[in-house]
Amino acid sequence: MKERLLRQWARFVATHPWWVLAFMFVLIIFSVIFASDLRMDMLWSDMLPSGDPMAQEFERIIKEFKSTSTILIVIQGEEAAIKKFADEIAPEIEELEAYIERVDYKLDKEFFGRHGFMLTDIEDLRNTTDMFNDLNLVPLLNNINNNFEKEYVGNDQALDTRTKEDEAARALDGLYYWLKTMDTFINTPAGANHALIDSMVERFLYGDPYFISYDKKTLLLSCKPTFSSIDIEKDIAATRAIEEKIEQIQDKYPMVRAGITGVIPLQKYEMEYTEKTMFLSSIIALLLVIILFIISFRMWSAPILAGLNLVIAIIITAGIVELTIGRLNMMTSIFAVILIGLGIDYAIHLISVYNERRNIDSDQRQAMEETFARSGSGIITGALTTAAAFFALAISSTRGIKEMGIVLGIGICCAMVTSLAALPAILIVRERWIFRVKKKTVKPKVSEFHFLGNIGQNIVKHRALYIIGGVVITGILLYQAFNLKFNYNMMSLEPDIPVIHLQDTIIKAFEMSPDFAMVTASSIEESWKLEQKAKAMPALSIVEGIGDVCPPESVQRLRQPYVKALREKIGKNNKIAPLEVNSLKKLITQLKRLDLNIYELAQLAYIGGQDKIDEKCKLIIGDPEQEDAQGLIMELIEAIQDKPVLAVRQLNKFQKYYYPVLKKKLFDMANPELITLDALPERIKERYVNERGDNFLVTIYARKQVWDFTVLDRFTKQLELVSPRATGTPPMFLHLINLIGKDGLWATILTLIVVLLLLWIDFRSLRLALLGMIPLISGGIVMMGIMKSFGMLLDFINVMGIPMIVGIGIDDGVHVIHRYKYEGFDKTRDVLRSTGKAILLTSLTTMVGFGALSFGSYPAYRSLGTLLTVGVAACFVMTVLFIPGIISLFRRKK
Amino acid sequence: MFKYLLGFILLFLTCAIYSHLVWAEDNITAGEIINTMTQTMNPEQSEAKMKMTIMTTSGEERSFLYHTYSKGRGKKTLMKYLEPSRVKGQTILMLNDGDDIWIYFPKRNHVRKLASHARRQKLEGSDFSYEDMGGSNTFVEKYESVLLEDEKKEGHQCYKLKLTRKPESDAGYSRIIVWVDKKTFVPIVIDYYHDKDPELREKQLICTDIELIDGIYTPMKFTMYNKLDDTKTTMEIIEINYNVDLPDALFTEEGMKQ
Repeated sequence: MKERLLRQWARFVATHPWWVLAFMFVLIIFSVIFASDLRMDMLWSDMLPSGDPMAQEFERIIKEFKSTSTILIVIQGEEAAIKKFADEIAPEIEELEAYIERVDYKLDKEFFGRHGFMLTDIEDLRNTTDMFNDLNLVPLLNNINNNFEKEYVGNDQALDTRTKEDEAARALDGLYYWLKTMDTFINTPAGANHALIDSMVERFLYGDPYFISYDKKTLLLSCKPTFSSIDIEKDIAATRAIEEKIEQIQDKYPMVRAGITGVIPLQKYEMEYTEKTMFLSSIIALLLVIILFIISFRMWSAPILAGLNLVIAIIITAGIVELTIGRLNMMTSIFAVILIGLGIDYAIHLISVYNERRNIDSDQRQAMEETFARSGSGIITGALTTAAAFFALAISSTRGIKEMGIVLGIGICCAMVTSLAALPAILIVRERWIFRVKKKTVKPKVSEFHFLGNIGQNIVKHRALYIIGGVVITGILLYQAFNLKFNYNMMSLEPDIPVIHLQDTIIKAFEMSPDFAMVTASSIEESWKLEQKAKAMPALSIVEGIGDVCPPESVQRLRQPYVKALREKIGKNNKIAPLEVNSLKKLITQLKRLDLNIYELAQLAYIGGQDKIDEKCKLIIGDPEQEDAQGLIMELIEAIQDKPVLAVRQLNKFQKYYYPVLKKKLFDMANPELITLDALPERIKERYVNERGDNFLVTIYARKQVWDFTVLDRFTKQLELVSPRATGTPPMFLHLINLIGKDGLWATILTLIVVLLLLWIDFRSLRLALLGMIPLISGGIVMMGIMKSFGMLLDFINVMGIPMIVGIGIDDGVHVIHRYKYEGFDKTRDVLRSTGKAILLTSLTTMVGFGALSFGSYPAYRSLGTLLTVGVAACFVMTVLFIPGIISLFRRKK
Repeated sequence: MFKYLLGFILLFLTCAIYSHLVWAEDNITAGEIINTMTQTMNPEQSEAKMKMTIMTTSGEERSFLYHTYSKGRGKKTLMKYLEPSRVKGQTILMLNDGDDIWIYFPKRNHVRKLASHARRQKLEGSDFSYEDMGGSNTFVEKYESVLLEDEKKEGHQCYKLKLTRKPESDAGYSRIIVWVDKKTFVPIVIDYYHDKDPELREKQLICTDIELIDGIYTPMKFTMYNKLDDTKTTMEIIEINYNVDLPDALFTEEGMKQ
């Protein structure tokens, strides 16, 4: 029945090729019209199940808040140079108004200067209150010493956590700058001016205004784009524009290194790298496939015909996908590439047998009929089992996998239909055209693959040996396969490019991963609670939220009395008490006390392994490891003792300069007015509040490289403790992996069942159906065993190749068994010489296509290419090794 | 007949001894195990030379050699640094189970009293805290302990105990899992779970190289892995002596300067 229908169809195509082609043309026109509306949804959230709360929350945040992605400029070099570089480049970048909304790299001094103390916690306010009783130099130093002893030296809890260590390092930095300025006033009076004092006071009060690492060697500029990171064209344009600006300025600073990182430039570089890898791989694959076709078919036009057939299949698939799903996602966007790898097989089977038959049969019609009779069933069963394997993925809850299954299932069916309709019609038309031009029938030349026939014969002869050998090898590799490890480090799959290296630089310098998670709150109070919770979590690093700039009223009211008291105290500082030569002794006493405090702090930090503090202390007191080390304080004391008169004069000048500035800034900072949302500058507000003003964004960064699976897992678990609503690219990615893991297992089981049922129906024999499954199962085991034996790992990318192997691997067995059924089960030599040749060619083209990916320098594609190449080769070898042997074993028993 | 009778008696005796052993083992409570372990790890008096290797915040290893003196089951402890030269002679005195701490800086000849010290804080730069070793009976007083199924750990047959923080307790960990060697009552492995996240294993202590010294089983090497910071601290005992009579004067400001 099936054969009769196939013969009828072959006869129709051979006699009416133009009708078939006309129908295909109409189909293509409609498909192009539909496919032009096909949407590309390229967000991670588009891969999660529809209605997934995490994906919905992510999409809502992206819509409501502008600040969900950033471009980071990393500047490295000496402190002064990188700060100058940053000051010069920031306005230049802000000029790129089409792409950049604003650049953040410094503390908002104006806002902090007006509300600083209302943003300080009560514990620190208590300590600060006493520190500014008297702003004159000697009492101020005395209070700093008191504070030091109370805060750091006297309380080793003060340095226990990394946050506290950072705070201590910042305080020491301010103090260093203060002492350095004193030193400038005494030793280089020419450099002593108001600007220096301004900068000193700011640094003393606010810390370093730049977003700079503790060692002052790395500075970060955060550029907020005007567009979403999914707009790939703008990603590319903005990255290029910023890089041009960096290059222009870089010339002036030969000792400074600057680069760009973040999701936006990463997307640009990943795309460029992918294009480069794909281009190189495609060229290599194309050349190798053409060579293979020419050697096997001795026919220049064979690759063109097969390619044309695939283009038709891809266009029709795109049209149907638009009508059924309406979009492509991150996974389905590469359906065309996969279809080329899989769909070309049907063309090979058809061309291979047709060429053979053309040399045997008298006319085209008969040759086509015989071709369909021999390979038609194999193509249909092979395609339907592959399509079924893909359609089985539709049970997945994740949209990414579900849609991938449906799109590829449709694609395979389309490739099957075009291979049985368009391709034979094209073959007939081509031959007629050649006949018209050359005025004679040109029969295709056929390369015989006799060696395959011989191998088949040998296997049949020594079947027991081959079967036992195959089972033993599979068994050994099964053991290896069980020990195959998974590579959880996603960054190792990224190409070796500066954008990736700079992410590591940021993690090292700032202890934060540039990728972040987000959670929203409906009130300032709720946001504050979330921020506090997140800050207490050990895997979470920087937490940004509205509480940083506008704490809840209840918190502000608790701080208010301290801030008021502080303001009163500062206000009472009215009199500058000039220093006299005889009061220098008190000053020196305080300086010596300060030196001792910092020495002890340095020693505690040294045994505590807190290098940041130790390094800062060394700047002030010298290196304690050197016996004769002379620190800044001791030099200052020496200078004062050497030239007391000059020192008094200069220190009075120093005091006269800083006193009013310090007092004013302190007074302004101690503003007890409540900070309200309305009073926040727009520039600050938009970071945390949506346009309606009813939703507040909390941004949470991981402490370590978030794309390391263990870190990601820990980060996500702790985020869940902060809020079950937390979202963002890293937690969504983990969520997706978990869902895929769950779905993948069921989809694989279902696929195997569906494939077995289809084979059973097709062969009408359970025994043959099971036989068809053997090459797939043993091939899969061998593939994983070889991977383990060669030190390869499974990863998040190459694991996606496994369902493809199921689809590809089943084909070889199906085609061989079909041919056996047609030719007879004793015709091993004929089956392997003809169908064996076809499956060898399909395997080789697939291996070449995917194997070419291994030549690229993109580790992710390399790993996928390697897995597929090994898998396809293994399935072919297992088909040739097991099927003839087992068939002949059964025959002998019968 | 006699042979059968003798065989029966021997079988009976074997069963009886075995069941007694089993019964004896089963009869030991979690509290008793923890008590014995705490006593083993905190002997009455000790004098030791130790080497501690820490990982600094910039990821480098730093080693210290010091003498340590302990009295009253860890109630009084004195640590005197021998190496490196930068801290040579620097001495730390801990009294009242680590609640009061003094530090002597020989180069400046100055003693500083640290105002407060929480037991859960890091012990002078290491990944250890005072509480980690069950100092001042923390494991007994602040945690509820439950005996789980016995397990083999690091080649030792161990009691496995789960310690859950008592509701009113201020202990630094939400829960602790301890594997105690059945023979020596030395903790072989201790897993410490985070204060805020009971699923997050914060630290892991592994005790190795157990030796019988002066009748006390002593792990000569302790390695603490900090899973949050990816750091580790090792403490190695180079020499230890339990048969000592340490004068109280040693644990004073003057003693620090000696």
